[in-house]
Amino acid sequence: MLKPRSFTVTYLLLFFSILAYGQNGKDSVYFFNQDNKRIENELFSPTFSKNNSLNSYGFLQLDFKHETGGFRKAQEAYTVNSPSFLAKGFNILGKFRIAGSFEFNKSFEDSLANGQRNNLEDLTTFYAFANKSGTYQRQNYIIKTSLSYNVLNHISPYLNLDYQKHWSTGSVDPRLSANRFIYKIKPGINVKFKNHSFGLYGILGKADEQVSVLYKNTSFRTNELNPDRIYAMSYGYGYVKTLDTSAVYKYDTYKGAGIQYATDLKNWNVQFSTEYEFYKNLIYDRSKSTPGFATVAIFNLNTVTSSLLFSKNTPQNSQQIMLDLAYNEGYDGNLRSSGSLNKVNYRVNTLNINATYHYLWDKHKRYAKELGFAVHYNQSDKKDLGQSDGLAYEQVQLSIKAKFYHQIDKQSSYKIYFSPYCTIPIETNLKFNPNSLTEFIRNVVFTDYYYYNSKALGAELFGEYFSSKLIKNQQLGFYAQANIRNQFKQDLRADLNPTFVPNSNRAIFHIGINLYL
Amino acid sequence: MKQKLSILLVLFIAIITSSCKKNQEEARPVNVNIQLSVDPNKVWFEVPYEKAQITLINKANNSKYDLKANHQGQVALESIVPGVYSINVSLKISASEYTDLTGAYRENDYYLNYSLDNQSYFNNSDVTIQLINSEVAGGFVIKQIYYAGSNAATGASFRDQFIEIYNNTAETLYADSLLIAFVYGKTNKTADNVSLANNQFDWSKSYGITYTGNANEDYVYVKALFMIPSDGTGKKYPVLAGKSIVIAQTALDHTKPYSTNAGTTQNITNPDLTVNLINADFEVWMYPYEQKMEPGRTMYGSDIRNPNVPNMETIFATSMRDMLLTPQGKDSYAILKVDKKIDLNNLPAFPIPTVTTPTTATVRYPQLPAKYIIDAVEIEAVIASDQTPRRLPMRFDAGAAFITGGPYSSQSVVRITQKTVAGRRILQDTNNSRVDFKVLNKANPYKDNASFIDQ
Repeated sequence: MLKPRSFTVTYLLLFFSILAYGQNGKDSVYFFNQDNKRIENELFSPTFSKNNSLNSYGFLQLDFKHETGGFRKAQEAYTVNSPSFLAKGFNILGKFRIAGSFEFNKSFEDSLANGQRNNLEDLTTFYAFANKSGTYQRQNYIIKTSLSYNVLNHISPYLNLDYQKHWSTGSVDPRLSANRFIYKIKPGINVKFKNHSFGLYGILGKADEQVSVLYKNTSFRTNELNPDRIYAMSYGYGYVKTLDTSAVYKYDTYKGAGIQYATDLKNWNVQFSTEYEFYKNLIYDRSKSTPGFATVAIFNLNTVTSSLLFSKNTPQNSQQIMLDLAYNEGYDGNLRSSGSLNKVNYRVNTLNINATYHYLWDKHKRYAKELGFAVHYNQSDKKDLGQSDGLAYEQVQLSIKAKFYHQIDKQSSYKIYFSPYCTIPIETNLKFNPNSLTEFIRNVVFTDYYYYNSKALGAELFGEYFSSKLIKNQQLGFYAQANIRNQFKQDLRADLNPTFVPNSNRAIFHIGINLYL
Repeated sequence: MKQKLSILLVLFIAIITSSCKKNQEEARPVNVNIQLSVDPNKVWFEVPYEKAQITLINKANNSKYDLKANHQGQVALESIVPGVYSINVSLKISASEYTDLTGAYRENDYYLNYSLDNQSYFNNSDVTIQLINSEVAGGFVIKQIYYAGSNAATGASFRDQFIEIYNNTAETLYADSLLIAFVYGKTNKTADNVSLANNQFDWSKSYGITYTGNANEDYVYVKALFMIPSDGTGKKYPVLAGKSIVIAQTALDHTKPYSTNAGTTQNITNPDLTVNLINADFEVWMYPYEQKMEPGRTMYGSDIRNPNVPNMETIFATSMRDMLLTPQGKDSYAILKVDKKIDLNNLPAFPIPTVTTPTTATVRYPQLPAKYIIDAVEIEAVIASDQTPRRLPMRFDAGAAFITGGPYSSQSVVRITQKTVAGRRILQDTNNSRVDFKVLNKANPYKDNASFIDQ
């Protein structure tokens, strides 16, 4: 079996060979957001790309994100600064189609409390928890590739590989150190018949993670003068065990399958995909080579994702309808809170549905306009059965999108985008037992209750200037984006006493450069 | 088309979620009913249970709950998280209430206590707690224990530790031959077949042990035993009513640099963290004991003798080269006075029960009859997960004292003042250190007003 480093080298070689074959042109692919969306869908999907005549695509991005504000969840940092680099593309070389992406990002987080863990999995449990806020750094290498081969005109086997290397580290006691790598192999086959393209693939994956929580000043660990510095392991969504173990080892597996289907119906291109993945998270308090190695806890997560994309393109206008769905259902078993791996203590299920519609017109003119609207529905229910607490909520976010595209001359253009939105809580249910309160319930569950019970009004503003004057035959894009949302004031409950209550606003800013190959 | 896809998707989700939920047992909160009671042969009157202070502590995360019983002594805990708990009960009946309840005159307050540690409640449970009356022996009490020490880098580390003993009576008492015992027990909480239900050693299973009655309840086993010397009159060291004596590990001014036995200088970075023990009443100088046990052994660097302060007599000590109190709170302390039946030079001693084939090198812990205990204080770590099983029999201390600042924090535990009579402080002694002791942020060996804590 290949080791993580071998994966990295293999992926990088594969990926840069794709970019080396990147071709020029394809302005409209980069300019209009609806075309961007289709390319995103098709990049790693031999099935979806069958109905597209595009032979190559390349994109580089250098981005800097700044996020700040008090309207945040209990396990979010007050401020996040994050530079990132992204390169992605595909190419068709004879009977081969090869696609890849490489992303590197690093984030510097300040005033993050209540979750000394990686930020990759929101639904899992078994992580260190301390109320002390501190500074964190995180880093990710994410590499994805897809290789397909056209055996006959109608049949194309393919292999997709995903790899991610992550680390998180904290610099305030208790100090987190988490190292995780994930790889997934997705072998599949695509069958094309007339204008129908059907793909079927499997998922096999593995992840290893080592987590440690250490003190530079060990006296914080042994006294009650700074209770916020004493970490506890979270075993569920409320149950915590103080100073349970300073090391956590996770050996995880992923299994699943997916189908994809694409067709053209009159002037509409249809892309449908659905995927099921079973994630098994096994927790240990010592490494495999240490005597006494045995499972301390498990977490199983079933995830179903689906997406449906309808696109209609004419020289004058375009329409796009998009429907995305993600459903998660997870449960645990652990020896600490219930004494048995077969007894469920923590249950979670979430459902996210996004529906958007866009209409673009005057594409052939110098000034093109686009209007759209979106509805996002979020539902989540997390509960700790032994601790008798839980938080369930339903939210809906409505947004209107207005976009404007201007072709200044042959070598330059710009687009701007404005989207006001509002977030409305439909239902927020908090359950807790005053005789079974823990610091986790007080500082995470109560805080998040206020967050998800908040009404908010926000707006997103984006602008990008394109030019091919700086690099011959290559488009450069300079962009800036702001997303600001403001919380409506809400009444505080007398029976809740979290350390922190979400308040005021949250702003996310991006600036960056895009290079379109 | 869309409709067919939607139906397929919903079916897919339904199949997956329903299959996942099959045969899953779920954790549930539990109900615990506590019934307080007493032995009617010893406590024949109607006990006002509603006055009991009951503290429930979840050992997993230190969550504390103050509970109240009804007049019948019942406490109903509904929907608490399954887990391991400790329960401490303290019930004070004032002297006048006692008279009202019994018709009998009583000068001092009357106390009923009990504590349960490491109680597993993973299912609905009914618990009966029989409170016991701990009649105070009277006389000397342990007033202050400074086991934490001060910052290892900027303070004096463990070198400035001391114990203060107080005359809690209205008469002069004599400290001659008073024993200070460091009561030993397991330093972890591992369950095994030679331990009691609370995971403490079951000393009755020690190799070659002899005892009368109950090996665990009627004796204590010590890791160190020191004695205040005597000139044979028994009246060499009087302690006036409301006064105390301080026994130092090393009777030096730790706030200033000094020369060690190794000829080096022991510096102090932050004098505010430590104390001046130059005026201590006694100190432990262990060198003579070490020479007796291991002739020729080099003198321990910080075991410095102050010729102006009388030395304690070391009867026994193991795992220490001076009077070392464990800063992590893993020892308990008792003061005793034995009669002539006890030969301190030939105390019976036994290995810990896990040792099945002792050798000459095996440490044997001296066994002392608990009936000689005058006062005892159970100490525990403040963080529940660091706590080890209690070492003292329940009737001597139903609770435990602890510092909140952790090891090397300069803090001490001090017995609180119950009342002041004619200028003399009477310290609270209910035989439940959880309520009898509070924390002094900086240990105080100076016997002044600031060394006391009011109720």
